[in-house]
Amino acid sequence: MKTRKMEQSRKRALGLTSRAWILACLACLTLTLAGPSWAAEEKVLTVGLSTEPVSLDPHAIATASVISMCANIFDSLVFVDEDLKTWPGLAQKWENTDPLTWVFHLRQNVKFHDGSPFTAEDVKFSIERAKNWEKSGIKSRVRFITKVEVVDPQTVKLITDKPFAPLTRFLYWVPIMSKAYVEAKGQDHQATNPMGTGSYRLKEWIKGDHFTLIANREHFAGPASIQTVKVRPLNNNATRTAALLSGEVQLIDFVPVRDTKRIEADKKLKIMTKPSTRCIYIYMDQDRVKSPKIKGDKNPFMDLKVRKAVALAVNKEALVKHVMNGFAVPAEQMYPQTVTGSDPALKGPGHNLEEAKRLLKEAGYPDGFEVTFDTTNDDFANDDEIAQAVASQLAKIGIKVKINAAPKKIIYALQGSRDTSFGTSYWTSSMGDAIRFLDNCAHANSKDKGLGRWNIGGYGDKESDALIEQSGKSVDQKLREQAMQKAQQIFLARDQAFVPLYFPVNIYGVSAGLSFTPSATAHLVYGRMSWAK
Amino acid sequence: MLSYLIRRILQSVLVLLVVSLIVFVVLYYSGDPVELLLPHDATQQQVEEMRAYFGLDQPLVNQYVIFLKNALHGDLGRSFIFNRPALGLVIERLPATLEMAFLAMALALTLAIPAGLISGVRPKSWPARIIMPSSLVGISIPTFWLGIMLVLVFSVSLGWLPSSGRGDTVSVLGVDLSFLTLDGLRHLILPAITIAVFQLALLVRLVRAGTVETLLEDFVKFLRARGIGENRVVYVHVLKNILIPVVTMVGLQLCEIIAFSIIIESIFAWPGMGKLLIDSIHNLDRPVVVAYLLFISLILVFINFVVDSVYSLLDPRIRLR
Amino acid sequence: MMAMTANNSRWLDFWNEFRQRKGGLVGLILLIVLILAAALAPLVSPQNPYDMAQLDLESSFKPPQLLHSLSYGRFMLGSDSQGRCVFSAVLYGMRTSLIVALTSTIISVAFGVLLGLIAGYKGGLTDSLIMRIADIQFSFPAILIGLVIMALWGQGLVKIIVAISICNWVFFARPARGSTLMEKEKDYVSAARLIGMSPTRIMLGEVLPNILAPVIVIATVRIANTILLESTLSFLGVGVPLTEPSLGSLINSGYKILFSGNWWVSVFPGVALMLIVFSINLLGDRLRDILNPRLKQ
Repeated sequence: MKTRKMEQSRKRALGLTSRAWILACLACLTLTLAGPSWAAEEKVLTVGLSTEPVSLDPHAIATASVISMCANIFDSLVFVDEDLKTWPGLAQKWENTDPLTWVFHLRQNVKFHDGSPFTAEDVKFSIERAKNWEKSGIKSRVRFITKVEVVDPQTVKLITDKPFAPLTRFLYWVPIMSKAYVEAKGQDHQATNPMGTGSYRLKEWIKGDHFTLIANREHFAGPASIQTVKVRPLNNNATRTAALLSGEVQLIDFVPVRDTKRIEADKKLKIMTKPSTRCIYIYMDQDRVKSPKIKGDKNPFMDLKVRKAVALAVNKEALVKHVMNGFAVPAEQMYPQTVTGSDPALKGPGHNLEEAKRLLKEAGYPDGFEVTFDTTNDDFANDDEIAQAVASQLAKIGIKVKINAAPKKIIYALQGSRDTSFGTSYWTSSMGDAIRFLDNCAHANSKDKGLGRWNIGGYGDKESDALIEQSGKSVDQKLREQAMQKAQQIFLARDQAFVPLYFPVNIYGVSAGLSFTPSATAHLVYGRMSWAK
Repeated sequence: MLSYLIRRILQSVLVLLVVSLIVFVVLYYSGDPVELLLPHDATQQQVEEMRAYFGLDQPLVNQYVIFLKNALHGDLGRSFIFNRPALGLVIERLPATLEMAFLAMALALTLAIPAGLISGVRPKSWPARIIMPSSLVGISIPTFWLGIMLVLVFSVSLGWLPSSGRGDTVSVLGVDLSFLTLDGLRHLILPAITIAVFQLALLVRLVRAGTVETLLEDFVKFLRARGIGENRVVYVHVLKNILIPVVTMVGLQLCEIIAFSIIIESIFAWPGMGKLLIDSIHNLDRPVVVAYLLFISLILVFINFVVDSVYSLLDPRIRLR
Repeated sequence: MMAMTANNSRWLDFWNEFRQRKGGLVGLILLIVLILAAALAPLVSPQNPYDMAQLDLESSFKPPQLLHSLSYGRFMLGSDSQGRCVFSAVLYGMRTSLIVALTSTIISVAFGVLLGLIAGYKGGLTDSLIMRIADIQFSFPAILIGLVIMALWGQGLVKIIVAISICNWVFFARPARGSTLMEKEKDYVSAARLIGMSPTRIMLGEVLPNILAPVIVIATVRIANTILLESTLSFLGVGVPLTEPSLGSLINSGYKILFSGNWWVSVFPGVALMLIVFSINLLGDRLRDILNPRLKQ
């Protein structure tokens, strides 16, 4: 690798001389002889990602790929571990002086990549930027913070508008930037030139081809074990698997569920999994008589019996076994047990076609009805196949489902404007707390309260809403948990507002020599990886 | 010549206007980029603020007028997603695409001309009996399928060649090129072959047909009668004659390859313009889609112009009007 | 009556010449078999692959039964992720591919020839307008036009037929105009004009039949390209919708699981696609050879 680098710089210095041409000709000749052996000279970690981060400004576009990449370049006040437990990040410890006031004591002697010291001013600047910058994509994650006070260079006080227990979890998602750097270089400079305190700094970014990260020797937790990480976007599933199988990359994310056998058969590779906090669920339009994608002038989903029949007709185990190849967990509720607010006692209705048919008949649809099912085909793993399988399961109780599979650009817009009657959507409770799902998907839509924007089916219930609002403004975790469980009892067990299908498992294809623990956040934190000795 | 050039450019400007208008209207109705930019837990207020920021809350006509005004000053807007000038994003990807296209074309041409001549001159010889049926298979193989199969065989099963990406690049006059490094060349081989096979088959057939027809021409009989050697007749006089259709075809096919790079680039994760277009369409990144289409139109017009010029050089009977 | 026999003997001559070479015959027979299989898909396929009620996840990814016993039936070429019989899916996919290719070729022939006729016959401003548009479009590769239209417009069977027709009309407009220009000068057209026939009748009744032969040859060859264009668009996921997959979309769904060991899901549609295109090209080659009088010695 070193010699190669030198060769390159020499070539650069000479420009396009005859030597380069001779080299090119030689290259042609020796091409097929060379083989792939020289790829393993130095232990550079090359990673194949399913999605290229579009920006490296940690506050701009809060897609999973951006946040995951930024988690290596930036640090946050609070870290979460693989199982979503919080632990100290840039803040060494914190306390509540009263239910609305949080005091964070910052770590000493932390330096940004450019050598400047990290202080409380940077925290204040970053949170305010996340909150107020017009292009910020993470406003919703800091909106309850009303004020940031710098007490001294090592202490910051945050004031919230209501008692808000999950605050520290939310702060993991607010990376800290350098005030001086952003102000000197300008806002738009940040998208391609990130500079933080994180365990890696960005060396180069050739768009569409690769990022190169170099370990930050000065990182407060000690330098990362792997010096150089090359991250390559390989968004085509088959291409990504091929790159892993041929040894070009040593780690890939989102392995297609059916490629796992092939990878496991290779002794140099292994499959690693981590249950995600994502729930794939079916929504049903249930608050209006005239629904946009249902044939006829009645809306069957307004009838609880029909919603129950749908839940009974769907065979989650079969979906998981055959479509997800076993890489998912059938969902009885909207979040897995690791998430605060889940209910260990809650059970779904099970799979029972006879009962489903009986309920459908009782509701006045003995011959079923016709409806269009909207699904993405480029979003989550096997999204369009799941829709087809659900359609064939519903066909068995007489519901004729027409599938509209389209890219997420179209489906998101349909769902955002509720121009849909039936379909799949998902929610990721990656902060480890149910409150975000409840606020956005289960609470009745209310623009004034800023709640329920992603409540596609239009469900609403006064009692459930009150419980959700209560759990959003309490610092007593026990009380909050009970309120959230009670709410789910109402909207799911009683009213069947949704049909939860499964929690997908995040699958990584990993070179056997790499030691790495997947995280429930699905972020790839290279600083915690190392080469096995 | 000059008036021809001016007319071509005026035509293209008209095309660009129409294309940009269509893209504007269709993208306007095909979804909302803000829904893709913001997480699902964004509030309604946040959605509206961002829409206003990008000017997407304006009526379509206003948006288009603003675009035209800025375009007149050479500003095609900033990408919604990347937050960078759209044209810059497209141009930055140009070398990768052109490099692959030129290499594939060079590969196809160097093999096609001898193969086509041989099978035209000696249709009954054994090379011709292999070349012609293979060329028919060559134009029948779907390019995307060939790419997949090559990856399966040469990257996955045999492990000889990398399946994706560009590899090491060398900067020449500020342009990153792959084919000057060993690693880069190894990355170029599979995508270039994938594209070249169809082009090769097409060109072989063209050269062969041209050879067969030319050999029937009177001037060939005349040359032979004058006692000029058979080799000279074929490799100088006949070849010169069939170059005209070949040049035209190469030009047209070069455009075709640049367009086809969209598919090849997504199979081989090649960081060129085509991949950017697909991604931008999926992200509803209107400024980039418009910039790509405007830019590619210019390239296509330019290639067509070069072809026409070469054409008139080779055949003085043709005048550009 | 005389004309009829003359016509018949012309066809007979053609056929006699055609069957002299094996290539053309093989292409013709192969094509007929494939078209029949596609047309009769609902009758001969072991399963209706798109009737949701007939699918069962329990029978997903069955390997090809032909490997065990040589018998015609369900899963003879294996099944896909939904438990759908691949053989049936290929037959229905071929149907979709051929329907798209044939309809769009017919539409583009109709529009292309009509516009070419008008341009050639009228001349002047109409001619320059139509031909300039054709020129411009000619400099844009069909795949780019198709891709942009479909990616922006969304999937759909009718949409892709329209999109491909938009891509293809120029291929017919140019030769149609050229032939019209030549025919226009001939005596029978002047005669028709002299006896006071309307331009429409002259164009459709007199000129059209005489320029049809070259157009038909071009159309045959274009169909092969159209099938490839459609399958490429569907492979990219912007072609036909999931509910009516063509061979291209079947290959795509197999491509997604290329490394799973379930090779049959993508291999058989690919083979079918290649066979169709190959047989049409074989046939087209032969037709061109016969109809090109210069090569007859």
